[in-house]
Amino acid sequence: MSRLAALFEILGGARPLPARPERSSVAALAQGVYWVLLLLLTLSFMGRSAKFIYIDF
Amino acid sequence: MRHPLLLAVLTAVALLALVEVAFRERVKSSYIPERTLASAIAAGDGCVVTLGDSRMVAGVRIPAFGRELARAGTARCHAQLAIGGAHVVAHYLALRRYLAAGRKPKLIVLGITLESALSRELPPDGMIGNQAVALGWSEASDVTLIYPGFPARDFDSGLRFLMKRPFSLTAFGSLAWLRVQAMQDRLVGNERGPTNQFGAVADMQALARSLTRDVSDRIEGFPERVPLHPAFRALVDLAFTHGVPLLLVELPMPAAFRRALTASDRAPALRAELVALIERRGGRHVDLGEPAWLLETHFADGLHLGPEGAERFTAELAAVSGRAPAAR
Repeated sequence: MSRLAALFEILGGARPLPARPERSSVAALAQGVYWVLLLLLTLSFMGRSAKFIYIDF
Repeated sequence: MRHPLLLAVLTAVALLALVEVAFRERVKSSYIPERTLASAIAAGDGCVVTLGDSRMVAGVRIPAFGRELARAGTARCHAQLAIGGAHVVAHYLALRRYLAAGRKPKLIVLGITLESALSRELPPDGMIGNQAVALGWSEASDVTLIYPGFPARDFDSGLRFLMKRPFSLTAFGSLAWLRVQAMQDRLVGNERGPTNQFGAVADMQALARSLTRDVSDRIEGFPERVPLHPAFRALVDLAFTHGVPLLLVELPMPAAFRRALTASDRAPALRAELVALIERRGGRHVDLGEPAWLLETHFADGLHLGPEGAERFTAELAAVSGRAPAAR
């Protein structure tokens, strides 16, 4: 509970950001994958539908 | 790790490139216009190519049309290149791709209604579904065909078109939306109602009503406010430069649409311009908009011919194809 409160305080600006930990190669790779996942999710949900059937998965 | 940000960016770029390649392959195998093009190319040389939108897809029966052509000695095969829900830009790009593949057709049949040859706005955000061929099948130089006057006019649309068209993920991203939309519909219990091969019947009926509502206004704007679409002229020129005669066919439409079309004072002038353009290029025009056999009940969803109407239209189209000018 106290960790959740701390998180909200950081998000709200009441508490300074914690120091960034030393980044590993694995963390950097994971971040790249995470960015692509976010982008693909955005691309998938940003659209509207068409009246005509146009694809047959 | 000295440059974690650089590594993260490089990872993202490499992964995106892989996704782009995989998506491009998926589009080739699953996108109906791509499959239509592949089938048309596979049909070989000496075919009659049919172009148009879903009204041509519904009206031309396969394999009956090809059989009729072969029986009458008109052509050895039929290459179906009509694409549902697509605009004259898509017809032009489909024909260009087909000819670029080295195919030598005997005749090109373009089925339209008069107002389909006129200019209309085609914003890049509207190039979804089958209209996405305007992005995925285009070249950068086509920007002035779709947005005449670019960059002095339509700068924003032209720029977005140029940015979206090189990548499958942006050009054909709308293909993923259909699946997402279907998931969302299932989640919230949205019923789409009865469907046919083109989509929801209710959507097709609404489309027929909107075409009927807009046809007079569009034709009244010809030629000052609504000129011929440059892609239509480009299509006629493309057929001519390849030495293939073009047969322009006006398609059967419900009575309400025909009344709205003929009510326009400018309709005869538009028809005369199209006929002159086609005939200057060695082609021919045939009006099958209101054949004697046509009944309102032939329209299965208010817009597309059902089986009985399609059978009659197919036979008549095969007959007029046999009377078209020969290839040069």
